Amino acid sequence: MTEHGSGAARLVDTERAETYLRVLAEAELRGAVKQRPLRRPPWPWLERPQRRLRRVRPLRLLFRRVSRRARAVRIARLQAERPGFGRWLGPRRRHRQGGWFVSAHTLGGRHRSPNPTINAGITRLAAAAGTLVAAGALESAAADAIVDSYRLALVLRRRLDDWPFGAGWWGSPQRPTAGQPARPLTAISIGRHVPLALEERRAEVNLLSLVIDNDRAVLTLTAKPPPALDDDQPDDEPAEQPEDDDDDYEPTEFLFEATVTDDQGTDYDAAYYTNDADGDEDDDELWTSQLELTPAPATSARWLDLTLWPGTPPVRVPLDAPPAPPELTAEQLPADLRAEQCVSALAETMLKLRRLSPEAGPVAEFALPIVTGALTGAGVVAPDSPALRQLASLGRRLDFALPASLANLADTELPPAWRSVLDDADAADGPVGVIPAAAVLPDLDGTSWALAGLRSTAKSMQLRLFGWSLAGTDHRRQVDRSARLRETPGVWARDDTGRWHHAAGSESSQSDDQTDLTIELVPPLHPMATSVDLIVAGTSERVTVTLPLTWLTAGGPVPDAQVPGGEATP
Amino acid sequence: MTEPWRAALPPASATVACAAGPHRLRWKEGVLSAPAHPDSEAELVLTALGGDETECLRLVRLWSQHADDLNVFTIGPRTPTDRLKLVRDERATVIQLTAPLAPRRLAKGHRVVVTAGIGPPSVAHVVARHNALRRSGFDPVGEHRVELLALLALGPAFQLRLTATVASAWADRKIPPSTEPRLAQALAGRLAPVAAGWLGIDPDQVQVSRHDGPGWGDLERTESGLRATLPLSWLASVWAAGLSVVDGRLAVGVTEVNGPRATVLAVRRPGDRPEPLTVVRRASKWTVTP
Repeated sequence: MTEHGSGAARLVDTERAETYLRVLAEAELRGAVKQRPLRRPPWPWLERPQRRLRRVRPLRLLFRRVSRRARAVRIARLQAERPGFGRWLGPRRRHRQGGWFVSAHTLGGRHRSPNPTINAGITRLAAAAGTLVAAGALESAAADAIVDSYRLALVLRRRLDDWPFGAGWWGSPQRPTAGQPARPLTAISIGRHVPLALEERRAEVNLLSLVIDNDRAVLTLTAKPPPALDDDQPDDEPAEQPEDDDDDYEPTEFLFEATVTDDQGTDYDAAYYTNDADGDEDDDELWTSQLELTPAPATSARWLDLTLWPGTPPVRVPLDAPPAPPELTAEQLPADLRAEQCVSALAETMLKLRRLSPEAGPVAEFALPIVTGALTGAGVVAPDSPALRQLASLGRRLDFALPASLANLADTELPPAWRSVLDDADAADGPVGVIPAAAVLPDLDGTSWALAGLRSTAKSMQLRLFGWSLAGTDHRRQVDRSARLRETPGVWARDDTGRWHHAAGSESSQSDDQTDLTIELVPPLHPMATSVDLIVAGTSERVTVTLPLTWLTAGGPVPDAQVPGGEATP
Repeated sequence: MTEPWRAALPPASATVACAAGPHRLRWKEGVLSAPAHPDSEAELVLTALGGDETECLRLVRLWSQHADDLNVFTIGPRTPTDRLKLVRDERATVIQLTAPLAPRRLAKGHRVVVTAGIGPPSVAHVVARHNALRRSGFDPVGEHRVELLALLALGPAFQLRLTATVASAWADRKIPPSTEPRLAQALAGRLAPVAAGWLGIDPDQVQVSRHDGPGWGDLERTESGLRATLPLSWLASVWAAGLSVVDGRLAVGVTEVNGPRATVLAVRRPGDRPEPLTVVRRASKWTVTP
């Protein structure tokens, strides 16, 4: 993306990059061994991973309530017995696996938790490794081996609790065996508005897109749930407040009743998920909602009948004659632009953090010296390259504290994309609506991505993406996810009025080797825009999807960007 | 004639839980032996015919197999006082849970592996985890590294001697470019703390590279610290023997070892020419002798 910066990378010296990373590991290890070693745990029983397995079903509400109470009682008892116990709650992890949510957390562990200094060192090393991999200076396996050896060196010196990571973990999925071809990824635009009458209450559902792979099918939708009945909550009982925001989301229950069949008489298991716990911040619409169908429809299936509520007429989803996908162009990034992509990703992070909160500055200030140090230390870019000068200029404009290596660089003109998002940062003039976009993107860094819906609000634009890793799950991708240069593909967008949009936030849900991703782009679409180019970049490839802004309305998709009154959907 | 690095390191021994009871393993002048197994060749033949390999002979075999294992540099000791907390403790608690927590849907193509351990990582602990992971089709450890951990668990003296053995093995080879980064790491991780202590500077200010060719290398004081270029043999002959800094001077090579006496080349400050210095080992410490 030439608009993002000027190519200033040198030919990459792999040995130099590896040497840089290894010497950095030595420096980090010297710092780590100055920290106190971990002590033997005084209460071994607290080390047992407490695991819970639950399926997202109506019973889970009861299960969650019981388990939450039990956990609260357990913790309260321990707090009473040992003052300050609450500080020792260990890390929790959540994964979704095959329709199950698995959460694991370890109780106890101040004595076992890595020192924050140790963690910061691992993060620095992994971030530098991720930078060099993303820049094409180092193979991923070599970088992972260095970080892995560093972890082991810490464990052997009792500066890190366990190895490979934590007290428990999940096995990785087996790769598909030979002779078991994976079904080609399919994305079908549906674009149906479905009003529902639930007893005396009204609800509305917008069916956006259907994505089908070898194991499952995901139907993305937005839902406006029915209003709550007044007698749901007895007056004498206060409403229960979630004790742990991380514990769960709150789906609307009415979609638990959805059933799906096909023309061959196959009944599908339809599990409803949403990440919108209490509706959108602007209204009560559930945007990141989806129905997961198992098994995946057979290739011979011609249509699906979807009954969202008992007694309502089914919605027929044709599978054999999908609408034409949007226009796609894919291109390989030249090797000398890969380093520029790293700088662009860093700029994206800085723009994102500036928007989130002023306090987020230290995060970017933490990453700036690591990324720029790795790129220059490994000889990937020159210390005074135009790309770094642009980064320094952006940092100054955003009031970031720059490391010395950047602070000394002279100001230069920013790339058009950066200038655009800065100039329109406060725009709140976006059209409101959803688009049933559906497209399967070419593989990026070994991952297949499918676009399954776009939503525009006055302040931002959101994309639903589903990813499938072709290479199987790499455990380090999960461990070091936060330390990677960026965990998701770089996404920028440009509408046909010339307004640029950058990824300002994302929510993801991981399961096995699948990723469900919602990316928020800002500033919002221009009110006069009629199409948008979505630019999804990996480390070495880039895909552009040209999407006409065909809004979904009660009567179906409307091929007109001018949505009267800015309202196209519920 | 014994190479100087072998002679500079005094003999060491460790106790191993062998099949017939506790046996001693002995390292002397670069050779690891199992004195309790005098007819080791016959035992090796029996092993080849399907008999059980004794722990002593297994470790001797592993020692020779890992004599040029570069992983020693990445996880092994960085200073003579750098203690790896690896113990050969078969009593280490290892809890392994497999199938019971895995519902049927999760079991499709997956296996849940849950382990929890207490205490320092022991060989048993690491091996058990490795085996559990390998059964699940997931091998993050690597067989060779488990073997290496078994050798490192012999104790600090053996960790230093194994590091010296590997450094010596690579010092005489033509180094392929792909190996250079590992050797640079090996030198930087061990020379930087020594040089920093010698000059009273931050170890991060020491820039280390490998010297290849005749001569001992170079030490140059720079604005930002020290630029040091030393051969890999420095690790074997000087660093592992604890000769790095003697009497305020940095040893850059060992020319001769005769019993507890050694002659080293040492520099008082960067830029100086190295001068011979005779030192003697008393109670594992080297002191200058006239």
